[in-house]
Amino acid sequence: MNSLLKNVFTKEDLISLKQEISEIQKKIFSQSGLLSEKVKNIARKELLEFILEAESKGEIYFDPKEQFEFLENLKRRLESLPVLKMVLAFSPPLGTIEKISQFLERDLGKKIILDLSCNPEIIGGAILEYEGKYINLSLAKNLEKILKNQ
Amino acid sequence: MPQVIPLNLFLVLFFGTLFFFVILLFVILILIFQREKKFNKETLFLPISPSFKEGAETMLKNELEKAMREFKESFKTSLFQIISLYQKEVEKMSESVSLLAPELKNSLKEKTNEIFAVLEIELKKALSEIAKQNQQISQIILREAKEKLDIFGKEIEMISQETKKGFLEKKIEIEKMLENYKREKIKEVDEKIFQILADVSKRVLGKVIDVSTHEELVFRALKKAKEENFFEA
Repeated sequence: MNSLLKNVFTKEDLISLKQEISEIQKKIFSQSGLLSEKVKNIARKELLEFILEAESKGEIYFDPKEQFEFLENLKRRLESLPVLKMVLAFSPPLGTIEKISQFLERDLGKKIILDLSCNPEIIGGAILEYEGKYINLSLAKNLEKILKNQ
Repeated sequence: MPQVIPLNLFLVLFFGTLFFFVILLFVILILIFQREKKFNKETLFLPISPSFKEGAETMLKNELEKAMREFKESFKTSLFQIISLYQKEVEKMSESVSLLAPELKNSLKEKTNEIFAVLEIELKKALSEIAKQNQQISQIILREAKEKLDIFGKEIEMISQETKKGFLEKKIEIEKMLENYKREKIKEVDEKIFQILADVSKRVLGKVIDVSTHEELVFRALKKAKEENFFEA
């Protein structure tokens, strides 16, 4: 699973992956053979490796129904991944997004999908929303606190 | 009592008698005339000598006058007798009345006095009763008026207290409102000041912060969130 999500950092990445899986599901019943054979030309590298790994473990065989169900389960697992909403003062480049994702995975020990948005009003820092909780750690908020305390 | 016939009664009797005799004379003449007529129809007419006629007429006249006199006398006598009887009766009645009058007068006077005495007593009683009732009514009215005045006084006092209380409450409420208004206004002014300061800071800082600084600020925020156990369930 980790290899599959190696390059999945944001909500948009996850949607793209799920769409790819759905496209594969459409083609399962039109062809015969192993799932890896069916998707080798259309699936991304990480997904193909994930399927091959599953086939080597004996999790899926030739039955198209089984293959379909395997992909359906995969989509459900992807949908159940935790999401962290982040409001930033700038539009982060891919490198920054990757760094944030890696930081979270390393420090928290789990893959978290980022739902990013930009608002320059917050000046800097971030506003976070995670599993029903909210915290404003923006520079604007800090500035406001400082001004009020004065 | 004088024994005199009233003039009216006398005149009535006199003219009545006269009228009676005149009517009687006419009746006699009519009868004679009719007898003669009958005789003339059924019998032969016998001429009467003027002397005989004159004699007969005279005799008839005399007889009639005699009869009239007798009747007159008889009537007069009867009349006088009746009058006399009436006078006697009247005298008797007058006597009895004159005898009874003082008694009646006295009795009436006594009765009147008695009635007056009773009336006086009853009147005194009634007056006394009325006075008593008046006094009672006056006392009741006075008592009720006093009670009403007391109640009214208490009500006025209550209203006054309520008004005072209401006024004080209103005063406190207004004071609170003013205080809140003041606080809100100060807050608004403060917020405006903060807003202005924040806007200026944002404009200045926003322009000067580069991507690496932004990254640093983001990671600092994430670390702080972690320290505050934000990511824990």
